[in-house]
Amino acid sequence: MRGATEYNEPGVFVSFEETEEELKKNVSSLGFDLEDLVARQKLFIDYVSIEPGEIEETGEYDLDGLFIRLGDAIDTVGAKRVVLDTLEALFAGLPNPIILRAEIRRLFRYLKSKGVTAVATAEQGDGRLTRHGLEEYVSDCVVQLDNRVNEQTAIRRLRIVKYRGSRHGTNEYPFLIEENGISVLPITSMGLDYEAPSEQISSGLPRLDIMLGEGFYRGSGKRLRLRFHFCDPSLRPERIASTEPFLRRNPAKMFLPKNVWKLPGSARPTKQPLQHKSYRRALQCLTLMNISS
Amino acid sequence: MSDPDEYFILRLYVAGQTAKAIAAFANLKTICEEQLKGRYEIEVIDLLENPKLAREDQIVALPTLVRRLPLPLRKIIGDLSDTERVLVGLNLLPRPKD
Repeated sequence: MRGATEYNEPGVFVSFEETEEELKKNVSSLGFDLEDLVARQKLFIDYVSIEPGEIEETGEYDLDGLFIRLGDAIDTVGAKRVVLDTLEALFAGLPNPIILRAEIRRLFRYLKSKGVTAVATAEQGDGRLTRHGLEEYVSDCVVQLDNRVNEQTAIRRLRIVKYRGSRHGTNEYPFLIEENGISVLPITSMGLDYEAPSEQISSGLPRLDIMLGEGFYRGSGKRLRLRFHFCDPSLRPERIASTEPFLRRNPAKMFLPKNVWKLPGSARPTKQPLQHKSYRRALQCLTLMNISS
Repeated sequence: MSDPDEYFILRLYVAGQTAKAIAAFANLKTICEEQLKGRYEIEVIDLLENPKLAREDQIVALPTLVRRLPLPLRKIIGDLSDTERVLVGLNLLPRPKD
């Protein structure tokens, strides 16, 4: 849908589970106006319903019907992107897994030959990535999505299992689904190299200022500052950044020896001290402090 | 079991003159002549000519035979080589008990 709205790449959505009306209703909460996209020929929704009860299987068959529908849909809007949600329904509706496996293989090749980017969803299998152990092998890229609850906090996670022809991160990354799409938060690439402000601001209490040198460092001591908040309205609580420069600024206060910031063989404080055990501990300690403040 | 006077309207969906399509049509013709002589109608739809029709009857697999009348709508997929199952699908034979 983003492809259709922002990159002018029309798409086809083949839904095996939700009808067109249900889809329109459900995605409107994410800020998409399907009605409009369909009307402008940017999106083609095809609801494929397979009722196992009304189908009798007699002899050889193939999924050419699906291919033809897909091909027609792609050609109608000139689609560049295709979503198949979800192929699981085919397995549930059609009785012959051997034909189905061969046909899904053929389907993926067909989509490739059409030059479209296709996303096919699959349900996770028991001990396998997909229930039928097929889709992950015929696709070029596999992304595993997960939503786990840990200590009453649900976190969605994403992991790239496979990406042919490309290097990729192998870890699980947390992500959010928001009104403006998906935000992936790759923690490992998040830098912590903010500057530590050296500016000092008055606490509003002259005697306390003397005790603190000249006052608080801007951006530090939130807990302390909050307590004196009423003294000076200009002292709004600011976020504490538990970053390396902050730690380096006054290591004594953090109960850490100065040399923590130097790794063996490096002349100056390292920019990637994440490997260093005491640094990690210090960060943990600071994180805890932040949370409690 | 169906009423012996019922009229059958059948639609056979195919995609071009494939081996499966030709087999399906031949099998269907034989079955109909034997079982439904004079009270059936077969419409063959080639989806290569009119792909949009696949949506109307929710066609996924090919060939598909759709029994449009008598109701309820039934679909029989495959080349119709298993006569017994075709008859079950058309409701001309009771469903075998497994």
